[in-house]
Amino acid sequence: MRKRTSRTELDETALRPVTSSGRGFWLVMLPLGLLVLAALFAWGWQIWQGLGSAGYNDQAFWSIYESNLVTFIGVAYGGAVVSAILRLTRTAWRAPITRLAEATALFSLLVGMMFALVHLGRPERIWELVTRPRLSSPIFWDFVAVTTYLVATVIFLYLPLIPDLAALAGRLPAGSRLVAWYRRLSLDWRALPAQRRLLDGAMAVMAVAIIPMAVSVHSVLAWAFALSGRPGWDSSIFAPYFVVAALYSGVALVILVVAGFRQGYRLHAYIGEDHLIHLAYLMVVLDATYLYFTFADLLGEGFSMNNSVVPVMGQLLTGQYAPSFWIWAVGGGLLPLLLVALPWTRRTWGIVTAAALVVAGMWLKRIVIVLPAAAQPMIAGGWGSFHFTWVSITITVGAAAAIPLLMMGFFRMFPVLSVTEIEELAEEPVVRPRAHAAFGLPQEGDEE
Amino acid sequence: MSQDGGNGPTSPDGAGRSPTIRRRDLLRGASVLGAALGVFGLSEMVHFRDEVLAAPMPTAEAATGAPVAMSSAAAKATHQWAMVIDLRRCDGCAQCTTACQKEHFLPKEQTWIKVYKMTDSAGQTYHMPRPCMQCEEPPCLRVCPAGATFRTDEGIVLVDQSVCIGCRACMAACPYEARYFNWEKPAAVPRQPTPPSPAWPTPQVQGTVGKCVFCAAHADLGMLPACVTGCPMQAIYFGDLTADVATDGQGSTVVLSQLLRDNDAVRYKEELGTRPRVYYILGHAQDLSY
Amino acid sequence: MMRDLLFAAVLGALLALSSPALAAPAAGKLTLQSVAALGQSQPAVQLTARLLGPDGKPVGSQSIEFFVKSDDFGGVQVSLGTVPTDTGGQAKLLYMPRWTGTLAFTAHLIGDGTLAAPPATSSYLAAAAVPAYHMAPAPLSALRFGVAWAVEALAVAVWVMLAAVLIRVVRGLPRLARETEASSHIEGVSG
Repeated sequence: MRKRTSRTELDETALRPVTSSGRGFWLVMLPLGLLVLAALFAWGWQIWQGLGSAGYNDQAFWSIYESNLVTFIGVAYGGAVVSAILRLTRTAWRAPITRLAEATALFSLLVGMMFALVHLGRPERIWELVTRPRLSSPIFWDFVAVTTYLVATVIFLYLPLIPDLAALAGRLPAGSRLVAWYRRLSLDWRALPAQRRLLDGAMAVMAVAIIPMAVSVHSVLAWAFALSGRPGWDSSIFAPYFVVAALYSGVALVILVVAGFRQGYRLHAYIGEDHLIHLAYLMVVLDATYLYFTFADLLGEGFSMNNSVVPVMGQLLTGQYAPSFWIWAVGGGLLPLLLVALPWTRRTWGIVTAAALVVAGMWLKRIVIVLPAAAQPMIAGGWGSFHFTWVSITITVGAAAAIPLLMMGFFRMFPVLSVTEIEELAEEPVVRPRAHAAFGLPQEGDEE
Repeated sequence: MSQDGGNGPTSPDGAGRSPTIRRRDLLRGASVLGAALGVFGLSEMVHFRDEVLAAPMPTAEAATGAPVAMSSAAAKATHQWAMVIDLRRCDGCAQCTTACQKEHFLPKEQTWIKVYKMTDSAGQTYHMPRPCMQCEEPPCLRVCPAGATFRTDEGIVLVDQSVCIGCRACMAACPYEARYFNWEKPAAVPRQPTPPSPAWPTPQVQGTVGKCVFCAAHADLGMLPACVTGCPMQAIYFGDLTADVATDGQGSTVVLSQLLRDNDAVRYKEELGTRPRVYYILGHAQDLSY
Repeated sequence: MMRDLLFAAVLGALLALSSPALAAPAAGKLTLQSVAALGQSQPAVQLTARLLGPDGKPVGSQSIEFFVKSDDFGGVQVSLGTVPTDTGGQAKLLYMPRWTGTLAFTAHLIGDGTLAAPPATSSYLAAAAVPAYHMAPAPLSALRFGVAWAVEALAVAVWVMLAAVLIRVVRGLPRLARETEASSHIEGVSG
């Protein structure tokens, strides 16, 4: 393992982004901020000019924003589920990365939810989903599932923050405005055994609950497509297919975030290459599962040579979408598998490359899931096509920039490492959460 | 609060217990409130849906305040509008499309009735005009999240463009690609006799979905849809399934059921279970499948 | 079909008018009667048109087209069908009223051009009518609302659960801190 560090050192590392903002921080924030501002401008332009300015037309009625929506909400999912699964299985190496994973979940979810608005023709009417919903609509249930999941993600991020805030309030520089906030948000935390029992119980409930919630989010998202009955989307495998895709790209993003913050915030003492390798193993398992699901989906739909679905299959595998599809299959599917499987590439650089390929590749995969089925002629005539315009590209790039921007902003105020958890797992476990016995999960101390 | 805190559990006035009680009450209160809200929401939603379905179609008569022949309308069973398109007569001139676009002030790319060039099993081309099928089981309606798409009791599927959020789920769900999105600001239109309504959505609204409305407001005025009167080939009949009447607007008014039966009329993509209100009369070797 | 017949009739009439060589059609007499038909499973009207020649004798083998006036489309004459007269000069057509109220029927002589007669009308007060069309019930309608309600109840339950967890933590932690504070204070007092 890595060298043991003292509690003081740990606290200082976790708070370094809060207490001292170097020039590096602003050097990264500034371009990110500019990209986000450009995206907001482009969105304003799009609202003014109409969705046509983003490159849409009646045949390509769903395309880039819908792919972005699935992609960003998908990566959100990875963060929370990784954190929840690692917590439930009491995996010892989780401690330094759970905070990062949970924050990734929250902020990519927020950005993903923005795309639910960006893709609408009349975003200002979104409240009608509250005031006059139609219960049979998958879009309504998307809205319900995503907002529920958002609240759950915030709670899931907040609960483990409570002890950290209590512990770190005293370490903040004197006169910091954050002290009052830390004290208020830490809810009088004194690390009493009774408090710990209460918090651990709540954490266990949330960790269990967030998994089906996340599954519901991506299932309903898949059903927004699958329930339309459109050839290419009309597939019974779509819900689990989307769930696995979300996990797969989500773990990849967690790897990128962990590697990025490890480098940027000098967390090497707490996050080692072994953390990335553990995550990479998780990623390749999901990679293999996703490749298998893709095969099962295409075979199941295409083998029967059904007239309605053959044109879509043809366009996807051999037609105009074939380059994108095969670039994904090789670059986003097989290559990451190899990079992690081969010992000499199973290093930080190899894993980060693989994760980057997965995140980018899965975006491309979402495009070839969304676009061909939308652009197909339903009666007769030619295929529709989507034209990427500066509006849709600026908004997409800005959204991608918004995630690191929001995360860096968040860690400017809150500790980047879950200090209490790290310390707890480094020492003897003191308290055993009640839920563990109840769920028959491995007890603390079982591992290592 | 020194003594009370320690003796809390046995203290008669319960000062020490109060946090526990409060928390329990709060939890109970929260769940009761949540459940109540849920039940209220449910009943509201279902109620709302019924209202929409039961609401009489906003008619032009109602809007202009002109007296409506209520006696005959009430005595009669409601209309169930339908359309019959005789593909043997259609020559693909697309004058129905032009008439429609002129009537509704639509841009060129919004072909609420679109004429497709089809190939029959013998390799010959023929033409198929496609209006909105006004399905009895509209897939577009089921997926509409805000209830902007609704079906009138006369069987016309309409979009309330003052409600539509522009999510385009209906465009995905429509197997007849009959729905069109207003991607840009619609061009200005001359002053209309009535304000835009679902039954007469002119002018169109940016960022919402529009489609063929069977000229719903026309039907109530005893007028025919623009495509029917605009067809020089008398290929399009407009009909009322309840009264069993169909007319091509230019001389031929017949018993609808007889017209359908005598000519072996079919509905497009019947296998999807959408139960369209548009019937096609096919020529030799034409089968409407691709 | 009927259109063609009409067309033929008009053409025939034009030919008859334009060509003096052809004999002008003789004046016939057409009457129409509408009575409730008996022995039918649903309300029906028996339309009987009777064609008499100039000599007052029934004329057979002449086509009669029946119409009913509909209020739809601003009032149209709906062609109900064309029936040839029998040897008794009668053409009969059974019509099921599709709406109630006064039905206005008309019979037109189409014939073969040898005979001309003004159209005959008859009205009938239909007290009962059977709409020609009934929508089939929606498939799986029993399930539709059940599923939506069940999922909605689930969503409400999840929100209640989330609220309960949050409230439990937000109120519970400070309470536990206060209780400990209080008990340690008592210890201090008693000890």
